Amino acid sequence: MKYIMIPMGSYNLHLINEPKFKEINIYIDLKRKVKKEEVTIRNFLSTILLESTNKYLTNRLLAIETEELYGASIGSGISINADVSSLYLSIIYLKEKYTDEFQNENVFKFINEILFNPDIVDKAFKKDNFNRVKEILKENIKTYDEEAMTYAPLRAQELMDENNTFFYRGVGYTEDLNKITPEKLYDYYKDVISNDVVDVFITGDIDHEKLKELSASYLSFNSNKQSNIEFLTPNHLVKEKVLKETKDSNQSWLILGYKTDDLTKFEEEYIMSVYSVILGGGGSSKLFTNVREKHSLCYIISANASAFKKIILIRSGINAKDYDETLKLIKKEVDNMAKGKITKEELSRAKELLIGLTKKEDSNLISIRNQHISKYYYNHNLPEEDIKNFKKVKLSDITEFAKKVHLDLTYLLEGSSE
Amino acid sequence: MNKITIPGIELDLYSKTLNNGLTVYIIPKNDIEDTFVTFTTKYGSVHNDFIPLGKDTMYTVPSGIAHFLEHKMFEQEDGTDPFTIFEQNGAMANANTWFHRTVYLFNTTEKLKDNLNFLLDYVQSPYFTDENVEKEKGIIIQEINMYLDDAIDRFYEASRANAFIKDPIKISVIGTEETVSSITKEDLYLCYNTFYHPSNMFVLVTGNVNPDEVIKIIETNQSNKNYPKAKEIVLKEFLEPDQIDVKKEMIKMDVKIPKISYNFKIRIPEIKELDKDIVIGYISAFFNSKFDATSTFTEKMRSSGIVNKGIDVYSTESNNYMLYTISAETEKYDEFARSVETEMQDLFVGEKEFLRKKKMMLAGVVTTSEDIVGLNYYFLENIAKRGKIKTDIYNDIKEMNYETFKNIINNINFENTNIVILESK
Repeated sequence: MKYIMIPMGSYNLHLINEPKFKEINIYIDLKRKVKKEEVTIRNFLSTILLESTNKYLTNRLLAIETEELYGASIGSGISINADVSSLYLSIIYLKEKYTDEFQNENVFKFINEILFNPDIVDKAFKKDNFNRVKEILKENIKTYDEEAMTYAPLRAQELMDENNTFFYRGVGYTEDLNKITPEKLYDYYKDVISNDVVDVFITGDIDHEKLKELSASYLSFNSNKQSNIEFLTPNHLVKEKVLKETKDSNQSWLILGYKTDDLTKFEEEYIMSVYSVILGGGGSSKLFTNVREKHSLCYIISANASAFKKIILIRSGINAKDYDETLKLIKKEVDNMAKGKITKEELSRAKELLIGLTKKEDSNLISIRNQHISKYYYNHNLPEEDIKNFKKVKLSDITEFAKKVHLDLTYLLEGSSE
Repeated sequence: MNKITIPGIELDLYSKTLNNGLTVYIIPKNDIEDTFVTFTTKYGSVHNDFIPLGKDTMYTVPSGIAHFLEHKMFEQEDGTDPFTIFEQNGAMANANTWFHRTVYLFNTTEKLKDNLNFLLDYVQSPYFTDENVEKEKGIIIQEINMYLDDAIDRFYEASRANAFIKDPIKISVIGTEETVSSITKEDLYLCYNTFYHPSNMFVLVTGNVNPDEVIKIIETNQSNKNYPKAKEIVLKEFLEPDQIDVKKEMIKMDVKIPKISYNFKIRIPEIKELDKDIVIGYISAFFNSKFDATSTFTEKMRSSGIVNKGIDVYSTESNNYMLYTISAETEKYDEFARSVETEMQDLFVGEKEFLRKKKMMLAGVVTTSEDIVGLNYYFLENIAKRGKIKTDIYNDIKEMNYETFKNIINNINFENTNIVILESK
């Protein structure tokens, strides 16, 4: 059997059997509802867990162990989806056939050490580790706006709605960072281990029985707890804002933020992406063809949809002097979408592209894992259904959807050294 | 068609050189639906001085032209856009230019024959006009400005440029606003006709594929096209010295935390019976042991507060040299630089460390083979640099030993270094 979900009491274990891969992935997902005042401490925790442990007292020793595990790659972080914050730990490693017969167990021992045996002294994280991670987070907050290209779309989203959970700054906030102490962090750690809703996904060439045994032995979250969490997306308020900010850079970034409302599930999952591919997803899209190729106004221009956030962002790197012309051309193409000025070829190309991307997922371990996560959390379809549904999308679906797309924010991050 | 099984990753490699000189390599992976195809010319940003096909004297073209040419390949005489055609056939296409090669590629789960024919056709039908050349300049200048804003890119550019004196790898791949503005359609055709001759190119297919079918498709496609007889391309020779061009540079840009790169220019020793890739492997094992996350150096830097995050180690190869870059974000860059110098006063790396790095290299070959894109690029770079494919890498790594490691390291000159510091105004 390819997929099986086993309730383990304090967490759900999802085993996804994919024998064709040489690597295995273990993904541990700890979830709770997002609170703005917790964003920073949660980020802090996800970082400090990979700094060191009681057994691997320095980051160097931790890094050496990953090499001993034949180059295992481990990462952690925070992912906000709807109003839920996921604190995740993910490890990819070569399976036993290419390593040795103890590999699976050694990896589980390693994860157990990281999750359940942090370097704690007197009910607090050790001061030197704490201070070092605090400096890292300070640096991350400080450099958040350093690169115009990555900063502009993030800033635009904040300006679209500061109160929306998924527009919170992933790096955290300085005011909150300064309030965290080694003791408070340890308390928060205990709270997370005891109370977060946990799902573990293991994907690769796995023996269900053996992996279940290893999970039972090494993944020991405390007590019974709520086994599911609901993902809720708030509705949007559209406010038509035009904002400009400056930055010391050679190039300016123009971001248009569109909000959508009252979408059906089909629109969210399929029509929205077909729409944004036609508009600005690739070399033959309307934006690329007209703004870049015909008028040479930019090198990068694209439209990206997020079904979760229910927004579409158009972004373009331009010279500030071309702001008015670029804006006019972009709005014209968005208008063309609403008027249904879309050829049969544009529609079929967009669908082909999305179907191709869906088919491609089968060759990637992490994509396959994410399919099962989406199915379990949000009841999304698996690839076979997705392909059928993309094929069903009609021109009238696109124009109906286009009516629900509203310009909320026009934002220019102007480069002051042009 | 030749067939061999690649050791360590248990995949087969099929290859054949066609009559016009084009070589085709195929590595099937049929447990997935995905196919990745690259069509590469061994021509990149460093090849600006050469004897053009049909001529007999050296000619110089403006820098950035290989990249410019790559952009222009997407222009077709009938006005259709290659991206459009690929997307209609369910494929995603792209291209990229680097120092020693230019790659045209697509990724697809269907219509391989149509996509493959189209890839060969659009790359093999150049169409440059004065008008379309002018238009492209605006776009590329935007691209140049985008990179000028990119701190990491500026940093990497200077780290490399300052280390080399004669080697054209010194110059940025995309050129400058000045050089790009001077490109003409005549220059483009000159470069194209010389470097895009099939004998200077190769196709590499990884993923879901039937080798016999693919060879047949390509042979049929090529048989309809005529090329002048293949001639060896003559490039201007240069002798790169061991010395560094600019020993220290401070770049002032809007960065919140200063960055420093400490660069080691290493002449790659020629050792009998050892492939260049393995010699490089030994030297990389040395630098990784000395400076990566597992090193005592990094631990010292972090515990003393000089560096908070990590230290990056990466390398660039050009002809007889490797440039190893040790980089970090730190306010205390002078201390960092002094610490690197102190660390390099003792070149000792223990056998345990070396063997662990060897383990990592072996594992690396296996993990690379997992992803058809990574697998394709791995061999593509190999062929572009060495002229032929190296399939025995796994077994050669297995043969690596501590004695050879010590001998190589003890005979290397680590004195040729340059520093680049990036900090705010």
